[in-house]
Amino acid sequence: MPEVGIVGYGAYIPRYRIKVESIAGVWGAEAESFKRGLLLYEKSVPAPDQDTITMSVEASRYALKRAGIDGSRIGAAYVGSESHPYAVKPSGTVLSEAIGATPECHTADFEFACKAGTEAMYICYAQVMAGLIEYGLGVGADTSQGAPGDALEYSASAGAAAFIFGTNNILARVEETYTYMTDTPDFWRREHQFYPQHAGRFTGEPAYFRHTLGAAKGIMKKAGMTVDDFDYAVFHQPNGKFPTAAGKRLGFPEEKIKTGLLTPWLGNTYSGSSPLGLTAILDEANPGDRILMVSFGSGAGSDAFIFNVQERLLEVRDLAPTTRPQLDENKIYLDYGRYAKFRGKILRNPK
Amino acid sequence: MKIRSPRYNREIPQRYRLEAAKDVEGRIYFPPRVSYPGGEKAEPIRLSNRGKVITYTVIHVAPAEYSDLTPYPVGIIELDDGARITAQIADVDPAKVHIGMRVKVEFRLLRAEGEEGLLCYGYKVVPE
Repeated sequence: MPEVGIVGYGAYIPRYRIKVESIAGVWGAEAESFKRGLLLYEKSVPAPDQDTITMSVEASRYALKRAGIDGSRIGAAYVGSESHPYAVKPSGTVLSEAIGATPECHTADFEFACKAGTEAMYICYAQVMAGLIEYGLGVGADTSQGAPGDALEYSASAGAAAFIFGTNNILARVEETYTYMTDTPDFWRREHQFYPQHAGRFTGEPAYFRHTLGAAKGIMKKAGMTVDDFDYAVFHQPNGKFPTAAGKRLGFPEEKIKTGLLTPWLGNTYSGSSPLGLTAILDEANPGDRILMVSFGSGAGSDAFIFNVQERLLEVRDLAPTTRPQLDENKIYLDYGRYAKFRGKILRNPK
Repeated sequence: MKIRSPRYNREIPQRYRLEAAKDVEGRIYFPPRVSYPGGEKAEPIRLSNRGKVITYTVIHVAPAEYSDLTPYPVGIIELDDGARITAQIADVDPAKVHIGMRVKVEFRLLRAEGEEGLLCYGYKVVPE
């Protein structure tokens, strides 16, 4: 079997933000309860001219820069998202065209609530492993929506992470993969509905924790590893509290979790969530470090990866913007009124 | 606005990938042409995605499909390889735009053809 791994990665976070206080103030809720209870402070908001496709293109261009390859060498490009701009017409065709991957490129859009991004990564990894393609591009991106006033509105945010898998010049070798999936009705959106429904507290223990912990334990057992074998871990981050609790229950010390924990200041980027956390880890990891990544998507399931960081990462890390500066710098804050306009939440007459 | 798929499709190379052409004298043509002055051949190139604002204006009264964005700046941008493009300057307070400002090209939604039509993508610039 050839060695397969990440050969390029890229992250994209929009500049607009809204603070938890700005949302809570409109709905008569207590901002403090979201900050203390869920570790949420602010979230990213896409500009009116941004969507899953545009953010996927930016993240993928950064990934190509780090990989040092031309887009024409990408044999498969998959976008995982629950906010594909078209109901019928793939996001992947626009992405592939924008990076110059067409016409010899497989594409499909994936959807699995918040784990569609790692689905895309896994299929790319598997196709490269099988020798069907030289390079595969897997993207997790979302401009997720929470219903006005719903708890999800405090976290549903926007961002994209892109990973190119290949066999040459590997930055982070895949050592193991594992999936833990069941039919669990914790969160869904029916056709033609604007906003998703969720099952409240049922989204916790029977959904997020069962699958996230199940996948983390499963991959460690499969690989014959323990928590001590890892330098970093990143879990899906619907809020700040869940991944922190998952890490604690598995026995990970806080310092192995904090690098990839972006949600308190980014929000939940859904399909981009654990993938963006992984980009933040790759921005600072050293050769020889081992990373555990576990996604979670409602419905429900978790994909797990073990990555081993290679020397090559140090050579290419600075060829594209890193993740933390995109999160911490050049922010533009919105009040709730502009946020509602940006997100199309205001009822208007048709033009 | 009615669907303009064929025209949108034709413009994809320049709008998505900044595809241009450079002739033997080093002149850059954007978008690429079918033929060039003097019958010269020109090589396909992709323009730089960084540049600076040469001049700009702020649109306060916009066509209907852009009216939600007002006031928004539109500028002439000189890219680092010398080519000049006209583009909206996004993600910025119009009062902070200035001549010489460094910008980078980003992929954005240019327009949506109503609630049912095509989504048209292409380039805008944002502060570097």
